[in-house]
Amino acid sequence: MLIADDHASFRRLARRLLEAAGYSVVGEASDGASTLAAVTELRPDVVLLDVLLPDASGFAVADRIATEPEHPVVLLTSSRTATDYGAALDGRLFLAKSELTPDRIEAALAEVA
Amino acid sequence: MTATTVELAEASGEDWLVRTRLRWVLLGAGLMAGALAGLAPYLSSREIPVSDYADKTGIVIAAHVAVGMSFVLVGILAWSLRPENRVGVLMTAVGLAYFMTDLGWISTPATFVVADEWRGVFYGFLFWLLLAFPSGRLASRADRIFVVVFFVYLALIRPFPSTAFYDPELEGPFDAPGNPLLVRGDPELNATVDGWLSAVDAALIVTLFVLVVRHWRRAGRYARRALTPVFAVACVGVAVALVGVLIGLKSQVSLLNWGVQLTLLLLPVGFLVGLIRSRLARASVADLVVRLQTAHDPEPIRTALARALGDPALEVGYWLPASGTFVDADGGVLEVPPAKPERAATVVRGAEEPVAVLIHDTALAEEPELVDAVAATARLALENQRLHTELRAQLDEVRASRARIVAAGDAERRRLERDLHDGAQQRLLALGLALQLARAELPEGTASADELLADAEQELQEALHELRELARGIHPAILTDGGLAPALRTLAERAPIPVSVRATDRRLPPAVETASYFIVSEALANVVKHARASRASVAVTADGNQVVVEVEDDGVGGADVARGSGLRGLQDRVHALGGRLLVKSKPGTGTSVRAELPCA
Repeated sequence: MLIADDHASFRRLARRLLEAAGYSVVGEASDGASTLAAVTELRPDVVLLDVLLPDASGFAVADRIATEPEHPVVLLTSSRTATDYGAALDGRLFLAKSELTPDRIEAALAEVA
Repeated sequence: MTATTVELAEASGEDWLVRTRLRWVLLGAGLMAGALAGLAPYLSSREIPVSDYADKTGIVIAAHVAVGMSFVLVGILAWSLRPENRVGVLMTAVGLAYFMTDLGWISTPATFVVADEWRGVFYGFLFWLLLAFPSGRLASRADRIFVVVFFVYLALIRPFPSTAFYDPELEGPFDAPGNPLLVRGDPELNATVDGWLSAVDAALIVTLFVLVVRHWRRAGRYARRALTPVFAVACVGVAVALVGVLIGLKSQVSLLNWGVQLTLLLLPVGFLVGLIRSRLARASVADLVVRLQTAHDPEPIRTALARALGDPALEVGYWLPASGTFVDADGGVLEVPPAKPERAATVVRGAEEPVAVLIHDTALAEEPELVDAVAATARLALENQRLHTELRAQLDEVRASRARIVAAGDAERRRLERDLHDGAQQRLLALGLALQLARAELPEGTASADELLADAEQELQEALHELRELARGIHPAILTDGGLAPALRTLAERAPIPVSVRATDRRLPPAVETASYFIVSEALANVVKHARASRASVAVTADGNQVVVEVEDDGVGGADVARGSGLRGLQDRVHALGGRLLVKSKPGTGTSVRAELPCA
């Protein structure tokens, strides 16, 4: 799993949470450009991607990732809720950061399994 | 490219009296000269010569008197019409000088010589008049030099050489009283000298012709209106005179002489028509007074002034003391003096400061009296309009200031929401994850600690929820990211009653999107709080340059903008954007809130 978020404290705690739940975190990225580079280099199965990155929208980064062959699953996250994004989330996996638990992640990923 | 200032001068009553008396004196002198010119040939002891160009002596004398009197009478008339203009005086002088030749009927050597040799002074005044019409002033240095040189030539050079060799006893008329300036009677030498001087005459007439053409080319549109009839006659006259000089006036060319006489007779008529045309332009001022009585807006005033000045492209600028500029009716700054070389500016001044500026055709600089009269007539209307324009400018500034305040408030809201999102929310989220991890790592048998951590997580979630709601209320992120339609749909989804949304998907200016969102948000909040409605509808349409936001419900009605601070706040926001808010809410018929917002 790759964690892409511009807040270092979130990345650190999310890594511990995910690893405690049995996920293997292969890397971290703090902006859109480094996320795309890490996806190509590390070939993660899942990208936990913040909607609001400093240099790009998470939606745009997700769309770029989707163009890659054998692309990973993208799970968008945000400090806001799904309500704040409306139809922009249609067809995408989304989990509010306040709901970020191993069970919710598993349930979300199960939707595309 | 000139800027002039209107200053009205009034002739003193004493000047007026002196001028009036002088006119009467000159009129008397003219009438007397005309009468003498008509009667002298019959009363004189000298024999009436056989005319070169008419069989009937009476007709010749009548034509002669008519030419002189027409100049005198039209001159007096012109002087009365335009006392400050020298044209009338010059015309009268031309007429009186024309009768100088009639001194020859007085049978003395002195009067004979004066009449025969200085009658050319008539042409001096005539040419002066031609160059000075219609302003009465010799505008250029070349004109002034020409007139001075011409008078010196006529007074000192032209008469003496030929007079010195002219003996009437040899050349006739044989009843002449004699030439007191005779040096030696020599018809052949006299003819030779006269030939040389005729060449000088021709050169001077050609120079006059050049100056006249230059005068015409430099004249503005308004000056040409006056000049046209004069120059039309004068050009014919100059051409005829030139031909006459070249072939010799003393030859028996009766047709040519009649042409000269006719031209001289018509010339005062040309001056009179020119003055009347000039007078007609001044008459437009009277028309302006009438038009200004019903002109209360900038455009009718501009149109009335444009008509009075005969310049359809006239621009009127009003003085704004605050900015020290002249602005048009729409608030656009006018450059003074104007950049275009064919436009000139006339500043209309009040008691202490400028009132307005008229940007007009430079041709009107030739009609300062007309421009001054028009400006003076319109001064009150212009001052009134200037105050309106100043007020409008202040209102525009207040409106723009309100819009800027609203825009700054909206920007601050967006920044605040973003700060909450990036700061407090992120820290609370990290805290939530830390609590999760702490709970997961609690050893077995610590149920109490687990419970405490669970409570802390719950509190944290509620704090996050409240913070999120607060941020959303300050400025909804979806509005910035997704636009008005998704933001309104989100708003509708969170409402406790069914709300239908029909909104344009077009992205609108941020200020309009924000205003529209908060109008709907406030209206729906009122529906929920006060209307007891079962349903509501939201419609946002963008049509042309206007966005219309409508929120309707089927509740109890009775909403009042004056009583509700929320609706009043919306009204202020809508007004700040230059729009209007309409609320219909009769008791029992539901409420309709309609906002119309300009959207460029």
